[in-house]
Amino acid sequence: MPIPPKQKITLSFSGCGFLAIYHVGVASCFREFEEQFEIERIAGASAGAIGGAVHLSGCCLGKATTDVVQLAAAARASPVGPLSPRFNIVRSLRAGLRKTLPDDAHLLCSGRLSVSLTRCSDGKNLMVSHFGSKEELIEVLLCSSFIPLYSGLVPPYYKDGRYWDGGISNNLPVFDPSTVTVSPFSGESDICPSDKSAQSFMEMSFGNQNFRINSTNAYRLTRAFFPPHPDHLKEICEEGYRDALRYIKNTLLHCRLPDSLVFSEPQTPLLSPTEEREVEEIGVPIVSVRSEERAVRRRINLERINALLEKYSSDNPNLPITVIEALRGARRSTPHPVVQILSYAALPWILPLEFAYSTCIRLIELTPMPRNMELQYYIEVFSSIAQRVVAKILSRHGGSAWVQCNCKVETVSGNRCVLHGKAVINQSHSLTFAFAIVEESPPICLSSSSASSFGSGNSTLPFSFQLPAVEPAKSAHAVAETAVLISDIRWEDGAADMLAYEESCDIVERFEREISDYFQAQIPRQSIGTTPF
Amino acid sequence: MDNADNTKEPDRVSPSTCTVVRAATGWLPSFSPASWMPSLRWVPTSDEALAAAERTILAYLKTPYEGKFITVVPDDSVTRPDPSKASHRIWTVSMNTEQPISETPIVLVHGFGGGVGMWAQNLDALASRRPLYAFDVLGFGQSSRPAFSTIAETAESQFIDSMEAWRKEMKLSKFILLGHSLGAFLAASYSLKYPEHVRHLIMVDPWGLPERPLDKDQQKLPIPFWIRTAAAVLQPFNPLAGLRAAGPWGPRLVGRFRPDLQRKFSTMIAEENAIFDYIYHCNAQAPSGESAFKAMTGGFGWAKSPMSGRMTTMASHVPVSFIYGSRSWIDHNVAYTVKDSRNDAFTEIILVSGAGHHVYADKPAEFNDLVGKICRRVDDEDAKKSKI
Repeated sequence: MPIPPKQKITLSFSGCGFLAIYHVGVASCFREFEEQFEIERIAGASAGAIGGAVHLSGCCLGKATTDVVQLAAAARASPVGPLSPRFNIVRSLRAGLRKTLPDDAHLLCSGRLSVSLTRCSDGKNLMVSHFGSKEELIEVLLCSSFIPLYSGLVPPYYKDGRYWDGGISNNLPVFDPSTVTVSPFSGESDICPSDKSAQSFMEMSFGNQNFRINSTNAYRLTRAFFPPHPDHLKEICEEGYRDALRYIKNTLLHCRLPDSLVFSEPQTPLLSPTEEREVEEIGVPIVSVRSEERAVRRRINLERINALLEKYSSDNPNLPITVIEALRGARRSTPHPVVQILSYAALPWILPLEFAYSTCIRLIELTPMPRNMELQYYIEVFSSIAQRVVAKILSRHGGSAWVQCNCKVETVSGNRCVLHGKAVINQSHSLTFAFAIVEESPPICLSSSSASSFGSGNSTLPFSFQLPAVEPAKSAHAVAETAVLISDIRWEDGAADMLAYEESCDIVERFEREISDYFQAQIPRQSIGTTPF
Repeated sequence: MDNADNTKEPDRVSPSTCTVVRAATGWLPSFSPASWMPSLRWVPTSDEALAAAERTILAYLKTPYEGKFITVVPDDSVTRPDPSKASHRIWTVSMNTEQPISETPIVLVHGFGGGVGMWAQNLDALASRRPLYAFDVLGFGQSSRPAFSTIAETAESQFIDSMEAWRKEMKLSKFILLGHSLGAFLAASYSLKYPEHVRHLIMVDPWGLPERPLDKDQQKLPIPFWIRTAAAVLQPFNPLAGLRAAGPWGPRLVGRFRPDLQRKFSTMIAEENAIFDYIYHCNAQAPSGESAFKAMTGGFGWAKSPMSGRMTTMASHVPVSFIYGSRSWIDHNVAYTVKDSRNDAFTEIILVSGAGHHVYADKPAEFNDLVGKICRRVDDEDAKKSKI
């Protein structure tokens, strides 16, 4: 039997906060039908984008479920839920994504995942589908799921600006009209809960997505922000599976629509002239004149999947074991009812305090203070730069050395902070670096004294730059070299860290050459021959 | 395009009628149709505003059209809440009545809260071969807004009765009847009562087909108390009461809640707010058809007398085409039940992929093509019969 080619499908996952567990259910269902369908691309906003990234990078869905469940549990820990100051959703998400996504996630997702972002400055929508590194992918996903006020006050930074939740401008991004839209809210999406209990006409549209106005949808909307009880998470997950299964059966495979016509190609005529004659008698449905070729292909496909469908005849969700396990694990972790009642009783007293505390924390985060710069992270970056520089220099000179890097914050004042580090190359040589991090990004010149000025004559440098005097180390023993590296790092709330790092690497690499030249000029002249290696 | 070329101005509304309508519409009655105090109304709408909004939309049509009020006197046998006001005016748009290729006309019945203007993207294509008549359903759009009975059967027969009276006035004998949503329900109901006039029934995303399931079938998610309370509080109100209560903020409300409507029409209608204005003015006036719809529904929008069971008794010589949007929340499986129950009578079910509830606006090209083909099939059958 010829194996029919896999049907290629593009999906769109709508933004939906904690209801992302619905997308896990949908993804589980599509993984069951891997032999028939290939998910070519996924567009997504907010939590939907995260779901898409998880699915496309082939992560274990059980692990993703565990993450959602843990996040939900963390958000439910406080009586005020996710509004609690102890719950930092951006940080938790970042940690979760770093852990769950594989290292080559950006390669797997580039070109296949489109993430919807909303630019803060003008509210315009931006679709991002290329990611340079895993960190960049994570930053884009964090931007896309940053709900103003709810997630925090200062939106994260990506490339050249700050971005908000993609759901604000486009909650249901599509590639083309044939994209299969997935939404946990009942409305006009291909895969969505049918909410058969209500037939009302009332609908509303937000962020390119249509929602029906009914009480279940209202409940779902609250649950997108305030995670539901783990039992209901399981139900939502199962609902996603069931809805996806129904869509696959009814629309993609046309199983239960034996004589319906899916009319999707406007350019192909409904009836060819020869066929038209056949339809003249009343009672011949249009569909009976489908082209022979297509019918054969469909039959082969149907035979192949009949066995699979048998398995799902009861419409029971057949979620992967790992997902079920993860959901079951969550149920055990719910607190004792007595504890819950006590925490609710204490609410009137705790709530004002919590809110005051939360406001203070957020305000402190907002104030531009160097403390906010996650100095530890910068120190790590700095010492790694220092080590690379030293290693490179040493490799040019041959031999190995013990390299020790000590970094410390030297001055913190106003809008800038200078990191100071010392790399001891060997007993006679040590290299001292200074690294300035400044809030704004004007080219800075530390020390413009008379000393040897590297690069001032070098036209490739982006800005005027002067090194301070090379001073002998305080060491009593031998000659030491001191150099100062100055780099211009924009610090912007974490988001630009990687960019800053890359930028500084670039600058550092340019200086490496210069420094090495400098050392080559300096060291032989001095006591390198006698240095004990 | 200049309206004056292709429209006849509607009959002048008598001042007394105007006042009656306005008094019913606003909180603050306007003392006279004086132009110097237009802002005295809480709800900024009027018959003139609605007519203007519709003209703006229909100005984009390529085929000339004629819009006029048809005065109809419904059957006396139908009980009405106000028997004195027996005659109604039905706003009707006719196209291609002079020299059509095909004799069988097509009649369009719009859905809940709509009007003739909603068909803007379809009128040209559907009228290309045959006469086309689109009317505002009694109680909606520019048609009269009488008091409807609160009993489902009576309210329904008021609609059907006005449609039959309209047909008599228009002197149509047999036509293709196309209805959307609530209009599809009414069209089906009309076909049940007057099958001799319906050549083919096309139901587009019909409302009111399925029967209300038993409570045990309802979904498992627990609805919190406050949402249930809010739903219960809102239950007695008309569906669009909020739009009228919002008063001067109403027009903006439509754009805020349904920005997608403008997108649906954006390829045809260049003016940004035209469609919002039209929908606002259609629904901001006294809720007449809206109350009738409310009377015809049980809780949660279910039809009190669902059409799926009743269509079993529909005359077998009326062929039925169901057209559904694949993304619509309206369940199309019930159409198969109808198909099965109609035995040998022609029934077909067509899904338009990628379209939502407003199939005709979401995928106008596909929709027009599809309906055009169904209509041509009807013509071919008729031609064949006449040859025999």
